[in-house]
Amino acid sequence: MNTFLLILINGCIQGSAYALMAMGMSTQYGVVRILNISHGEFIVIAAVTTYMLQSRTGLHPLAALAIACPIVFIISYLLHITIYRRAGRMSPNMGVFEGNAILISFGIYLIVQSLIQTNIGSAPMRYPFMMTSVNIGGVGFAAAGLFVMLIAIIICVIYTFFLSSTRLGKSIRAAAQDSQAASLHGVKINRIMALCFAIGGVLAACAGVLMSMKDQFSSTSGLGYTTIAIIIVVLGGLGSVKGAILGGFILGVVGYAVSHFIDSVFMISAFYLIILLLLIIRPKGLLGR
Amino acid sequence: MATLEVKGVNVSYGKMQVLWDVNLSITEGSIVALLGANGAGKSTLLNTITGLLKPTSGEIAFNGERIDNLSSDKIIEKGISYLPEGGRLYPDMTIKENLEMGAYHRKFWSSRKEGLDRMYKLFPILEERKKQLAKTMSGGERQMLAMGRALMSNPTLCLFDELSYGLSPVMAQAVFQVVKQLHSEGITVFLVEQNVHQTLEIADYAYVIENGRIVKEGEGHTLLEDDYIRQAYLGM
Repeated sequence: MNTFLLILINGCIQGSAYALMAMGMSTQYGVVRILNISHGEFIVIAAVTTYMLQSRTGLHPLAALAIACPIVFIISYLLHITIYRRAGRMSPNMGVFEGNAILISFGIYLIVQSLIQTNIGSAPMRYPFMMTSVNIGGVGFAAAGLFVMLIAIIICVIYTFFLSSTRLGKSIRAAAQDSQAASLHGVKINRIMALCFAIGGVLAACAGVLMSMKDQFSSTSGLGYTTIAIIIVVLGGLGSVKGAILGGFILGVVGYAVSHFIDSVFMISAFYLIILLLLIIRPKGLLGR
Repeated sequence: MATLEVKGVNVSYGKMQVLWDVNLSITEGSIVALLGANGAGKSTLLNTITGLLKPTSGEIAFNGERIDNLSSDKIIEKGISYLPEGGRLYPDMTIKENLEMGAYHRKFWSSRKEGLDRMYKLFPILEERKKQLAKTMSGGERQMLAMGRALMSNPTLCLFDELSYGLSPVMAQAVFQVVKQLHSEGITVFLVEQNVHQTLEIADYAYVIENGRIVKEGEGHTLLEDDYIRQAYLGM
């Protein structure tokens, strides 16, 4: 029972952070059709920003959201309206655009990655945050982890509510399902695309800020985050935000179980095994259309 | 008075010209039809009227005001609504959400509740299923939803592309019945159709388009009697 609780809660803590990373990637792919290889770099940018602010000014790491999110929003928005939009105009069809977009995002990954590394080095970063432990059902859990999970779940709830119930959220879903029909209803497609790409960036920033509160990271962690986000997005169903949340939690729990019972080095192997099985049994993903 | 006036419109996709000197005029409160085979340029003309395509030359005026240089959202604002071929519903949104998207434009968003009530009255089936996803509906129901969505912005001119396409004769009849009802409410309807017989029966005036050119026009009943139309389109 204790083991079960340990795995479930610790897995969900990790899963909530995964869900955030994947939600951003899912939005960028599902609406804008960009499979963003540089996604993890924006997680790292936010984590580093939080680390710097926390260690130099003693600011509460959660407050870093107010700084990291706008920065990443602006960078992502500009990347879309300058590079990706141009690629869209130059691509004869969506398939070609998707391929080009992956290559572009890979280039952006290389640039951002080397910029971060040359500026701050590759030493691991970690700052002390909520070092106490909380007892749930006789098992002790890191308070920082529980705090991260709480905030991550709040963000997931707010974002799904935004998509399902606001005018802007509905127009985003409409644009994802039929962009030409949406433009006939007055949705400004170019603006929605740039906005969704930037929102995806903001979700990455949220993930980065929260992750830095509980995990050690370095300037080279980005590609690992991207890989996990891609796995989750495929698991949940390409373009499905709810699928990304579900997939995030599943991978979180599976990952923790594997590192508890076997060894954490097998975590990623387990993830790939899940994807392999999924692609055989249900290729469109858990909640895919 | 003509509510929509198309004058000497030419449209090209890249180097390929698809519409040649198209002239037509739609009288306020009437049902006007555009008939033609696949690939004749019917949908291209509608896409041009609604601002999705820009004419290379010519003029389009709505209530005396030029609209050929406006973007789609400005054109909707003026009271033109477009039901594209195949309905183009949002498959993974509910029926209610699909209807709401018809009133997405800022000008109509605040009155979407009244719009929903109106549409539920016009198409009771939509209210019964308002929480269902659009992709779960049958062909006829989808067309009802597409019409409802097009009417959410309170248009004075409706452009309906292939309303009856792929529907059973009974469903097609029901759809044309709705068109007649809109007509009785004073809404101007521009029908683009392959279903020549049923369309000519309800149309006040009709144009025939072939290879991007208007080749014939006349009152609905006159065209039904026309030898060329009977041979080429009605198989008589």
